[in-house]
Amino acid sequence: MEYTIALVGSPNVGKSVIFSHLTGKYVTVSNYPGTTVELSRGKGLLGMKKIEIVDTPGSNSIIPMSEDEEVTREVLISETIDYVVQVGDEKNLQRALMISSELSELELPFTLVLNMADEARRKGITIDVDKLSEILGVTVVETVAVEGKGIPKLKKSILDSSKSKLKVNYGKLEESIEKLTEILGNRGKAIMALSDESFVERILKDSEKIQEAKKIIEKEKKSISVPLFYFIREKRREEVLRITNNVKKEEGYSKTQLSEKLSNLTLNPITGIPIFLGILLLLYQFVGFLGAQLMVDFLEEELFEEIINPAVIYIFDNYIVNDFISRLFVGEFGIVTMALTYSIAIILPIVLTFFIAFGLLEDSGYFPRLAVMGNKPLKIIGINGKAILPLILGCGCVTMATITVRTLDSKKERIIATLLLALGIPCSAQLAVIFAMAAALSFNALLFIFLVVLIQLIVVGALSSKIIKGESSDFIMELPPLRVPKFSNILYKTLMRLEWYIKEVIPIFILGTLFLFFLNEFNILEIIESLFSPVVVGFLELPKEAARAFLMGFFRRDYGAAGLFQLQDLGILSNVQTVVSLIVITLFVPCIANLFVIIKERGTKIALLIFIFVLLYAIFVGGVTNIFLKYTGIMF
Amino acid sequence: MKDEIIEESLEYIWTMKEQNDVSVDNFVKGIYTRCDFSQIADGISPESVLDTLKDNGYIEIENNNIKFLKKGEEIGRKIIRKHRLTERLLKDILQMTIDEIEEPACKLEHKITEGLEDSICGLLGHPSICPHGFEIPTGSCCKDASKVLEPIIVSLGDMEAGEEGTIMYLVTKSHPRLQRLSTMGLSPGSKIKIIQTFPTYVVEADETQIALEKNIAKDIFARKTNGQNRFRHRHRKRLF
Repeated sequence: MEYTIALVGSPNVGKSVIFSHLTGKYVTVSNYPGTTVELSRGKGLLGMKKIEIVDTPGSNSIIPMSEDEEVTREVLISETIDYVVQVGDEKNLQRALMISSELSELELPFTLVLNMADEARRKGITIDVDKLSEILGVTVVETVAVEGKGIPKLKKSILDSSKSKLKVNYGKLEESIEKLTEILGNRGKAIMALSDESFVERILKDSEKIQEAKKIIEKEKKSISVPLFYFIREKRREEVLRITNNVKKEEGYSKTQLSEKLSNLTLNPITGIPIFLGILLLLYQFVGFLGAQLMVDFLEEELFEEIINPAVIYIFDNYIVNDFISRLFVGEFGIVTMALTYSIAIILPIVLTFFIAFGLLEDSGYFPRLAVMGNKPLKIIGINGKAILPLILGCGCVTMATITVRTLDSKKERIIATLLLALGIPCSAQLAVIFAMAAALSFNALLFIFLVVLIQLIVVGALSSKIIKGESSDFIMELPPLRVPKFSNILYKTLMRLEWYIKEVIPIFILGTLFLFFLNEFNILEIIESLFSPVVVGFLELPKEAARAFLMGFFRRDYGAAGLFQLQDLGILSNVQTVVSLIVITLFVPCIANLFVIIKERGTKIALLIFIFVLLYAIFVGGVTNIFLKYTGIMF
Repeated sequence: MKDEIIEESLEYIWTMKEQNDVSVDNFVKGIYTRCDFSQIADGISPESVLDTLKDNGYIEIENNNIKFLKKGEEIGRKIIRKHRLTERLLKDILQMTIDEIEEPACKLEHKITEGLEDSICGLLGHPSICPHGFEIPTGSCCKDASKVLEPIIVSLGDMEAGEEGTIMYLVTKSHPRLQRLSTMGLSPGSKIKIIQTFPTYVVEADETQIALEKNIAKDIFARKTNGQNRFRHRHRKRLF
């Protein structure tokens, strides 16, 4: 028989690392609360027993507060979970025990993992594990998961997990809890029902029972002047605090660590802004210079243009007589000459460097600190500091980022963030092509493009925050400690992402190229180009071939940008045209993959509205920029 | 009739108004359950209390509903304010539990002079709700908020970087906010330290740093455990 095991715990305590240890399967791990937004499942072996493991998004309580937290409760209540592995941060035992008490009430057998034991020691905190284990009635294991310490012991304990005897006394609520327990099945559910009104209807079908339960809850609501969930939490906290004081030892003296000092520097605008600019500069040097210029130059000009493409063309010219097949592989829209050249020579080095840099920043814990600084400016455009993660992630891949928009608290913020991502956040590959093309002009051109795009983000964000109804949510966010990134994790993560790129992105490039190839073969491309030419040639004053790039941009935005890159290379685009076309492609419609994700996450109606708006807006801004440049005579 | 009976009755009418039931029946039924009313009233019937209030121009009765007149409302407001401030004082400063505070508060409220009332209010950082979650009417001292007395209980919004304290209570009326704060460990009893106040508040609680906006920080009230010497912290703030 196969056991199902669920991993639960607060955000950023290392659930995903433990998941990897138990399954041998790597899931993205980072030093950012809320990296896991969906369940990941994996299989593994414990001794001779087969297990299935479910990794849940982190949350401080099983009672959900936002969309992404609902998943965890769903798993624990409705699936058949045999055992739970609760992961907690040893530094913050109190918080871990809050969840333990919820698990105990749900009568789920669990093992408590106190992770990051090394950090706790450094802070002078020690936990009497044996005593804690005795109080709770479950096994408690200390680990340093990133280093694999304590994992063997954990593996041995999981299948021996037992139900906890931790019980909180809720005083005057006890009577109602007992009654509700009879209706709902267990104490945990009864307490959830008291904490969260919607819960009763969620798990009960019998309307009579629902009424009965609701009556009890209503009665208690009247008798207790503070909100019930608050009353319950406070009782829980009292008990948890009592246990914590019993098992936790803190050595009075712990000196301020370097990481803390550094953390303070990144949080304060006076030092934080220069640090941010410094990081941007390094990022530019690494991705924009090393990746987009040196590596692309080598791969594209030296390898593909000089060696691979001539060789392949030679082979096709001499050995393959069929002209059609030749064109298919090495023609204008050839699989080798276009799809592979674009994806491997131009995009790959750029995403590689970007993934490395992004992984480093992610693991260091810098992004949440950026959220603290970015909160006020982002408020202007109707979102708060929390949205900084999706926006930055968007510079990696807009599609991925659109999924993480879920972590935002209000519907309004989710729509605005999705819109801004679709509109003006260029993905890594696209960003890199823009770097490379603008670098061929001047630094001012690059600056100009980014300014125009930034202004659009602000204008559209500010306007939509006025138009879209709903509340903005509070900015409350946990800051994980700054950490030195682990080399192995960065390596894994980069490899994982590269694998994703090669598996999912290159095929799309090839498909897109095939599509264009056939359009071209049957002369449809020309028809499309002439169809769009009033807009492209007339309004934007670009060569008609640019329409092709925009069409490609719908498959993947970077693919479109790469098309422009070639046009520029061939000398078809003037400086002003380069700038205008780059602005249009940056603002241009979301790629197919992103569109699908928007439909899935936000619904068809919103997706269509966003799509149409972005399309028209991109062309409009491109046209206006062109007119502006023409009249001011800026040539770059 | 004794002042205390009048005060206690007007205070009760104030709470009836908060619960949107100002019927005469409600008063008749409820007044003897209030605090130590039975001790001070000594068997006077609720109806005669109402008559006295009416005769003295504190209230009027319309369609079986009690309505405050200006004079009565002022006294009711003042006494409820003293009552709830006393509750805060007993709970936050003298660390009594919520079950213990009601009785002494009932007695003390009649003894507190106006100057004392403002001092307590200032000491507590001009709280806006009582430990039971009811509103404390504002006094003149809250408006000009001239802090003659250095408050012991202050909102996080008024604390400075480097100061430490223990959270006493949260005043937010927004449930999601309350829930979020309490699950993050920012709830009564938590020891906190202010890391920075600009551009966003960063607070350390239970070895965890939490960033929050100023308007949320204002909802959290803490008892300061260090930082009497404000100058030192100003100085430190400038460094970091």
